[in-house]
Amino acid sequence: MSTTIADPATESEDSSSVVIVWKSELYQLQQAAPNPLPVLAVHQPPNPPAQYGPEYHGPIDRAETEQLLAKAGQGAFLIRDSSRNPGQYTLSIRFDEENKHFHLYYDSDVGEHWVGEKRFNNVSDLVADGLIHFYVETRGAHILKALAQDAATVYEESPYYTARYYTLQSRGWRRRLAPNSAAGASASAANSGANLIRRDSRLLYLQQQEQRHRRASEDGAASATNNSSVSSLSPSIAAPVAVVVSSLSPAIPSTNSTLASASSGRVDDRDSSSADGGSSLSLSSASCCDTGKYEKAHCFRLTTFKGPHWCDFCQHFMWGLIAQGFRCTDCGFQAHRRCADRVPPHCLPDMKYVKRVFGSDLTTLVKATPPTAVPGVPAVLERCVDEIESRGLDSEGLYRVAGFHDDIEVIKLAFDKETLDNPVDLSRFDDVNTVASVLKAYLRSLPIPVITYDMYDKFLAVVRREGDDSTAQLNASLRQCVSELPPAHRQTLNYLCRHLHRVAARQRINMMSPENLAIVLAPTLLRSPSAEYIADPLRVLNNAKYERLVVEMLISEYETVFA
Amino acid sequence: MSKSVSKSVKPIKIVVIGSGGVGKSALTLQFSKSKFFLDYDPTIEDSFSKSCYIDNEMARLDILDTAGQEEFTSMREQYMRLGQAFLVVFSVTDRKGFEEVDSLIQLIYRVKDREAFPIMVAGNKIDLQNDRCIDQSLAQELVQRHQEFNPYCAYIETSAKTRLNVDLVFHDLVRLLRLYNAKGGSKQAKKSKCSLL
Repeated sequence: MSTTIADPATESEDSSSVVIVWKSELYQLQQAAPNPLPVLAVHQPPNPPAQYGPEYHGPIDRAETEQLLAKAGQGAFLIRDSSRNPGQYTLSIRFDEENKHFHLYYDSDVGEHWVGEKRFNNVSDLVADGLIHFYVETRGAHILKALAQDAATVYEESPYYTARYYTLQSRGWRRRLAPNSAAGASASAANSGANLIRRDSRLLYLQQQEQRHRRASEDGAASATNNSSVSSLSPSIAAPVAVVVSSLSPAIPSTNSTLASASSGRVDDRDSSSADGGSSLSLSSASCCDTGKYEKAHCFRLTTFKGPHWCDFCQHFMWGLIAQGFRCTDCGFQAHRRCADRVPPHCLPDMKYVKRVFGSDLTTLVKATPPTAVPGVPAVLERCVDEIESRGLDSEGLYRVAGFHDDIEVIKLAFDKETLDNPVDLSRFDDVNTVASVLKAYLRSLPIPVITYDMYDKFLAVVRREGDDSTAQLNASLRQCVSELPPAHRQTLNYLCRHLHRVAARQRINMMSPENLAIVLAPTLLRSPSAEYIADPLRVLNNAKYERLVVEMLISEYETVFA
Repeated sequence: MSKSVSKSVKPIKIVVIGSGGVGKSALTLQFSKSKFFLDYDPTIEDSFSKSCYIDNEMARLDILDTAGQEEFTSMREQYMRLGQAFLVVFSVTDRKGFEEVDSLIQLIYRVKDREAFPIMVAGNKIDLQNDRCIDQSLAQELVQRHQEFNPYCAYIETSAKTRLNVDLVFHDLVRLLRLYNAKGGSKQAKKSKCSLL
């Protein structure tokens, strides 16, 4: 039996025809699990509790219970008064010639029964779910045991990874993985600027490797399956990427591969065009150009799936009747509880799940939408900035004067519903202040501000000691702070400040000096993390001065801080 | 002299509100410092005080000049609670600022929990006649709608640059407040008209 589990994996490495194999053993086990069989009481006991039906037997003892259950056979169950705790009830279930007794709870307010974590609307479902668990956990014990060992599941072979392989690749996923592979030399040339991230992922990878080796040696002579999958991994560090590429490429229709190559070509174009710009202010430096590299953890939530569902991580069926596993609210990844703990933070959010532009997390949005001309910057910002720079840089009071409220709402709604075929047309809104207001509204709608809550104090600390430090020192400290922001936030801040720097360059005409821009924009870029502080208006005003200074310096010293 | 006056007269708290860049600070500074400032710094919050005789009665005005940008709306309700009289400013060259006037007045009623309150609406920048896009009649109409239930509401056109009506707008606001207080308006809570008595 154990060999059959390993088969699909080894097959996909060798034969190259199989892309995804859902493993159905656990599903078949669930199908074969015994059905609940209520043992009905012959004589209705006095004062039966309203929440139980004829399977309630009243104050019968354990011996009588076991007799009744044995007579009824596999899957039989009944409810009786608890012998030790008067006023409470016991659920007894017959499974595999054994009688199991559980303390049965009931919440009359919501009408839910439970013995463990999961809650059910009726006892019969509870027993059915329990029988599935007994059955899967006994008949499928060897599968579950193998699953519990990390090495048994290779993430790079998981359905999530393979199914999204081309998406991932077009977003630079391959580059991300490249440092993991010893054969990543060619990729590392393209990647030369990405030292920071590479080092991180390398570290992560080394840790994982070490873990794997430790486990492998601990397990020693575990099952043959385990050994083979471990050994197939460790010598070929390049395996994850190389294997998937070689096994998939023949199977992929030509349209797909041209698509992928077209998009990677676009990335290159972009890089070279910004290099033509020649400035050191280039936003698309290699380290930040792949939004695919931005790590985002899955946002898992315990979910009750309707119909059969399989785990995107280990490929096995998610058994049980309710709360079978976890689903990521941003990308739909679904997994067993145990598997969810082991999935790397490689969430690829999809607008199908994220659903809106305004009010979504910055990193989530950047990863969920097609890449923009400047990687890591949400399309809505890019479009507003383009529009403003094309016709509004000389508008007096830009970012200070408000736009038409109704038009702002129209544009916000349009961005939330925007599709590739139906892009938002900003040019039909005459007033450039309306566009500027949309941009500000987007930044204000972020659940985590561009300068994150985590970094708020650090940024403010820089300008608090302003008196002692020279401008050069201040810039260096700010630079350090900026580099500590998460990549999407760092890119967006960089992009915004570059734009604001351009706005301020025309302050003679538009009257918006860095200081003026900072006064207006500081509350949208920085927000204090502590709630008690917001309640104190005196401290708000006090900190507002430093918030303004931070933003003013980011704009006026853009060239040094972001160089 | 001024010391004894300031001790004997309770200050009147006036709050100046309106959309961004309409000239709230320019009006306030022209009134308190008799100068037209050319700098273009957005305000977060400034306060000024000035004492003057209005209708032969001494008045000490504490004027709070506020931020117009929507970024600062969180602070709005806070200062609205403190205000005894409001100057709502818009620019006759800017339609958006005018559109916001009505919602600002509504907000005052709500925060103050009153149906009537001393409010002056000022149409500023009338020196820029060429760029004007809000007619006097349009603004009058708006204020008349409010006057139906709020007799302490009035409209005036100003120019902070030429100092036209600058003193008048603040003085009239004080007059409205005096009228309001004389009628015991401050005690008259919204929806307090009991139908049984």
